[in-house]
Amino acid sequence: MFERGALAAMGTRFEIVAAGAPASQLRASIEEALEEISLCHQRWSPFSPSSMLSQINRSQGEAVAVDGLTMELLSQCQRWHDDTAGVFDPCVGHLLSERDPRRSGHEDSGILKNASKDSTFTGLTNVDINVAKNSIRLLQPYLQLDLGAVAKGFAMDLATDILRDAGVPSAFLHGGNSSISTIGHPPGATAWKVQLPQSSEVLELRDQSLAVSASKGQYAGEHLLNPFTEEWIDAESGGYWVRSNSAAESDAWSTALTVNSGFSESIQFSMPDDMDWGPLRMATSSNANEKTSKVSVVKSDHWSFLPTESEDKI
Amino acid sequence: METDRRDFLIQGAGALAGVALLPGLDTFARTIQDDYPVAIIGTGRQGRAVAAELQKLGAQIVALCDNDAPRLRSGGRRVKDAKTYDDADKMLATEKSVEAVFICTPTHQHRALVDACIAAGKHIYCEAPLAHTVEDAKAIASAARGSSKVFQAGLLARSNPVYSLARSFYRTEAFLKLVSMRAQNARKDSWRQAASTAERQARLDWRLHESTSTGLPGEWGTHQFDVFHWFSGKYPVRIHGNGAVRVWDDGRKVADTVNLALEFDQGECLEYQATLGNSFGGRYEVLHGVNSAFKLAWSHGWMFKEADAATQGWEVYANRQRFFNDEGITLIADATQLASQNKLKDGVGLPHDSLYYGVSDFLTSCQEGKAPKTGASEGFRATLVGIAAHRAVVEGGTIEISPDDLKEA
Repeated sequence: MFERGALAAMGTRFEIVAAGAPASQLRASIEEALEEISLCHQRWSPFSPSSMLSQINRSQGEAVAVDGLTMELLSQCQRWHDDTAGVFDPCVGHLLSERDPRRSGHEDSGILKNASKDSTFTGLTNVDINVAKNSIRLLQPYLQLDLGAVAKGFAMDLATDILRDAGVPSAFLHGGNSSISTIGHPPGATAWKVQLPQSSEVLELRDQSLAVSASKGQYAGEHLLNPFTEEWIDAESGGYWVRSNSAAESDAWSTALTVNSGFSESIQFSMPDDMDWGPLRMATSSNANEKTSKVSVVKSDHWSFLPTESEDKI
Repeated sequence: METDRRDFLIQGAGALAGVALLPGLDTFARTIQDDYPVAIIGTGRQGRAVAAELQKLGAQIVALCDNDAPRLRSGGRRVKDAKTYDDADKMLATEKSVEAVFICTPTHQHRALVDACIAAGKHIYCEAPLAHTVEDAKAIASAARGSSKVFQAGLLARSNPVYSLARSFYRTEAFLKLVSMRAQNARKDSWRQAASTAERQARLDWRLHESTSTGLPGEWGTHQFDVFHWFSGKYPVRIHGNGAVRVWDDGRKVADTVNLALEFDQGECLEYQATLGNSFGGRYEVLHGVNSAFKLAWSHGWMFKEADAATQGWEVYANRQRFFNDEGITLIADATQLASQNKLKDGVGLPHDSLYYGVSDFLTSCQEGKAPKTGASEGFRATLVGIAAHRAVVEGGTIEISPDDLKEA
């Protein structure tokens, strides 16, 4: 009944389960959808020197012509940044690089060292997103972008479109068990059911997406940054889920809510009318080294997803 | 050979110059005129990939064309300002400002589109293989020869900086003499296309139909065979082949796993394997020489030296990678500049996809009126070898290729 495909990309594992059409059609559709996700990985991985993102991050003030999807994603980032009063901020790549120097291949350049001393360059006001010229220009010398908060969701939206175009009536897609997209409902049920992490709460999804974001990363503890103070968000400050019509939207807004929850004084912004959200009830651990991958594990009535083996790191 | 060897030694004596036989990679993008007007026919995966590279190069994609609505919609999402057409003739008649057209449709549709683009006076980039039959390939090559415009075949090795660097070593004592060749392309994929209706499925699955497919040897092998044609300056005289449907037993007749031996005139042999059943190793080409071997994997390349080969001055600066018992010297284009900035490791792996360099070369040829690096002749011959290799697999036997077969007319 179900066809299934999986892919390792963006530092995590994507999986697609589809039903309701001949097996060969489902298989081909899943392959094409996974290939699109793979292409997104190639575009936006900060770990690959040849990615579009790395080329932007290396540009040091020069305008970089980008492909259409990169422009679309960055334009959406601009909107989320504006709508969340700057809480959603992809301009933290240089700060993340301080923790992981494999990013963008700059480990020998000295840029990171300088950035750590003078890293006050966050906020998309420091990025010229020129839609007419199809180009991106970083306006601060050390600034680097990181699209890890939304790239998974954006890739899954593209993959979902491919499945829809291929006539797949029923599908469940997830990236790292923390970003989910659905088409229709599983055979014999009215909706895909997802159990929130560390909770008995079950959400139903039908042609909807869900993202969970938590202040505690799967392996490394703190993994989200306060873009205003450039400090790590306290790993115990919690997390949020967001359900909407787009996995990228869910990713962006769940990240913004979680980051905002880590502020000593929350920033006010309005959530869009067409989505719902809520807090995650986090289990706390006294052992700082304990793996916390359960944060992003979701369960479906129709498929048992395994926790991912790798740290979630595009 | 002697001249090449002397040139190489002179460059080697200049320490890092030996690993920097190419111009800077940055020069690729900067030679392209902004907003150069182009169009793309075929907005499937390859057409969309071409569009992305064109956008990075700053070209203006004026129009997109595809007779498949979902694919045209997908292309349009990526190129928002482009006009979209479902008919190539209509597009060519309307979009007079377009200078160059990229033909990224199924192989068997190339001939008619090449004819239409030539009639419209456009430069043409045509994906490889050029055609699914020898007759069509000859017709395309002949039409291209009769045109005053640029015609480039979509064989990317000849534009790839890493491959160019390897080829410069191939012609020196660092490699010395060709011993043998090997290549593979392994990818776990059904080769079926996602489609919502049986009619659309049949149309999109052209690679699985015997009447339109050149099989794995044609669709994949053509690109890799051309690496060896380019390096050696030779084409095979004989091809032995076999293949089977090993994994995707869904009624298809086109083999999902093939093995080939391409023999050349002096006993050189290229062993080639391609499969849709397993992805181990991916796609690469290996050339074994007396003094070293090259492994080329499109974005990356390595030189594996024999223990008795002379050490070159630049080797002390080289970046190396370990592969079990072997140590490869990473082939890094633009090494001199990177090394002077202490960034040699940043040069491991090309900063762009191979397609970027092929598209860039084509646009440069169009704008400067230069002959393309991979013209219709190279495209025709590689296509002919691919078709012959596919025949060898289908017939489970040996196909002879005579010099006359390689003549375009």
